[in-house]
Amino acid sequence: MRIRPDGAELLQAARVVLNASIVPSLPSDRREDLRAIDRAMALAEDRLARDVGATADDVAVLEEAHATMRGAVFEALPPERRYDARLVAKAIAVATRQVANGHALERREYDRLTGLLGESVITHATTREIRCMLPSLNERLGTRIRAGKADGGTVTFAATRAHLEASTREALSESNPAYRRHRSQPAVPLPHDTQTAALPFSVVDATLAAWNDVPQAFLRAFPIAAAQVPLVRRIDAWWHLRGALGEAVYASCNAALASQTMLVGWFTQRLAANSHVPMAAVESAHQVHDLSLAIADVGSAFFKITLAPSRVGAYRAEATRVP
Amino acid sequence: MTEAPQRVCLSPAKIAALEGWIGAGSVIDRVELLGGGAIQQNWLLEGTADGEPFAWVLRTDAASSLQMSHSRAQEFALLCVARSAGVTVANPRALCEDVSVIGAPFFIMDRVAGAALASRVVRDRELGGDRSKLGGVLGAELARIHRIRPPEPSLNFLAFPERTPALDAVDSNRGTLDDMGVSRPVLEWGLRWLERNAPAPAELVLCHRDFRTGNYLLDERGVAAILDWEFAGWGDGMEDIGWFCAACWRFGRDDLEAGGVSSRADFFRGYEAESGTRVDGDAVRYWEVAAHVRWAVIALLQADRHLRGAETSLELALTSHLVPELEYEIMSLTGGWN
Repeated sequence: MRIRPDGAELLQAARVVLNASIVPSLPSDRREDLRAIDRAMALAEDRLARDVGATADDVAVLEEAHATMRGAVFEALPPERRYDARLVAKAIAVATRQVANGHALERREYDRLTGLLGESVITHATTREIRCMLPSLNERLGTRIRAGKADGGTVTFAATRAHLEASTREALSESNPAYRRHRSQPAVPLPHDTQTAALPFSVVDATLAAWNDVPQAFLRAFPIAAAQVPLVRRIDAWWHLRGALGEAVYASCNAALASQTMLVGWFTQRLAANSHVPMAAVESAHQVHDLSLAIADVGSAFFKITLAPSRVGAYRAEATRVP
Repeated sequence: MTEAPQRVCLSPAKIAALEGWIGAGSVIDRVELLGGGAIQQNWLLEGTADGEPFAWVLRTDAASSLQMSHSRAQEFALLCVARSAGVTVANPRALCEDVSVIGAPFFIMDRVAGAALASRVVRDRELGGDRSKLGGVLGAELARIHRIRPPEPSLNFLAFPERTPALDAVDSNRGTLDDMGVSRPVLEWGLRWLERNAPAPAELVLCHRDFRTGNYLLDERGVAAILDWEFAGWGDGMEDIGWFCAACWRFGRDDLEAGGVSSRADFFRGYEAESGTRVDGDAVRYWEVAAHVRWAVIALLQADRHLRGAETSLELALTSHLVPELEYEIMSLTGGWN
């Protein structure tokens, strides 16, 4: 259930904000960053508007634009313009996911709706045709629901509910994949004890945490580390992932001068505040991004997850059960 | 309650006209557009009148008014009644419906110091004092609003429910979706659930209808003012409690179910002590479903304004991407996930 304004429309509006509000507020030596961001947005807007399939490179360019907007551009802006930067970054993030998903979600929605409504499926329908048919199919479903024909006790109740849940999950996967609450874990095979398995993490949401919002909360939670706080320059990114093992959180930071213990403490606090993941196992490793950390739980089992950094939407991850 | 969208910019000429309207000899030294307010604009005015310094807030229409929001004159009347009822609000000073002054109707109230930004309110424990106590204080504020009941002559512009508050809300939301030509089956699912589970009519009270974190000012001691009365109307008091407790208004603090600032128990305790009325938990849950449906419909309306070109705004466009989150809550609250 792709919603309007869609990615192309968001990017169009975001480029107006970028050029009218952000560009004039940035020092001239940083404006090249913005030109690159604008180019990436224009390209994606064009591809989304024309239904032209995107490549992994297109996604990577948008991810780069998003990271620059939330990082270097955000920090260079005066405080009164940072809200605009957040909005532009959010628009880029939604568009990036739509570019990465292509037409898959609309196709799935079409298949489910036709089945639910007893319509014959046009097997070779083009994306444009599907996009034209979806509103009327949704209208028919809405009319059926309003008329009470999918109430509890009717034969279509369970199937309708299942469809709506799937549609909601799919819409969330584009609008805000980090949003999760009371969510059931996906039913997928789990790795055996001590076995390492490759896991496809298909949904990724990145959130930059500007370092200037860290110290207050950090100091309250970990006063003993107060003297070390200035040593951590900034958190580079949070990655909220959802995959075969359920929830996982990954962070990278410029932590060369910080103690590992201190950062793990901070991550733990963030995890506890932002997810339902129990803090039974925390693993960290100084590798590609100085420090990476991830955790996941499935029922009573805990897994260390090692993530291979990637510039495209899908992450390669390996999970190992933690004793 | 329909308003034509108007954008106000306080040019030097309008400021001079405003000084004339305030009174001879008045001088406005400082004018600043305050943050927040997608529907209304708030301007800080500082200066002197009759030789006395003043710090006021001028409230007028923003570019994107919603059809269901009150006019400034109506909002001013609500503010006056609320203040008389003991609700903590900014002191309403004067109303001006003469559009020749600044181009749109406006009213002026005292400036109240404090912070309302929801993300800060839920995070900054320096604000509002003890959070458990704050939940109770907010509950008591809401109870004082609900003490205002019809008939109230100065609020005779408020319509009474045609069926029941709950069923009227269902009708209203369906009508808005139909008018927009939007079909969202999940919202239809929620509306059907609300229709089938509507509570029996309760005694009518004044509902604020946007009583949530972000719409009250806090200072270091506690609540400094209840804001944004533009949606108030006669209804079921549990509606406001459901709105306040709805997951969409917790701003990341899901552990504090009353607006992201306190437990439900603290909030309910304050409400019950002030009102002498027991909070009906089941009714509150019902109104939480209604809250998510209503906010989703408003979000779609705001996006629709962008799409129709009434106001091109990235913020409005992005608001539509909140809808899946609200739909997620609707599906959860109406039966859980399969």
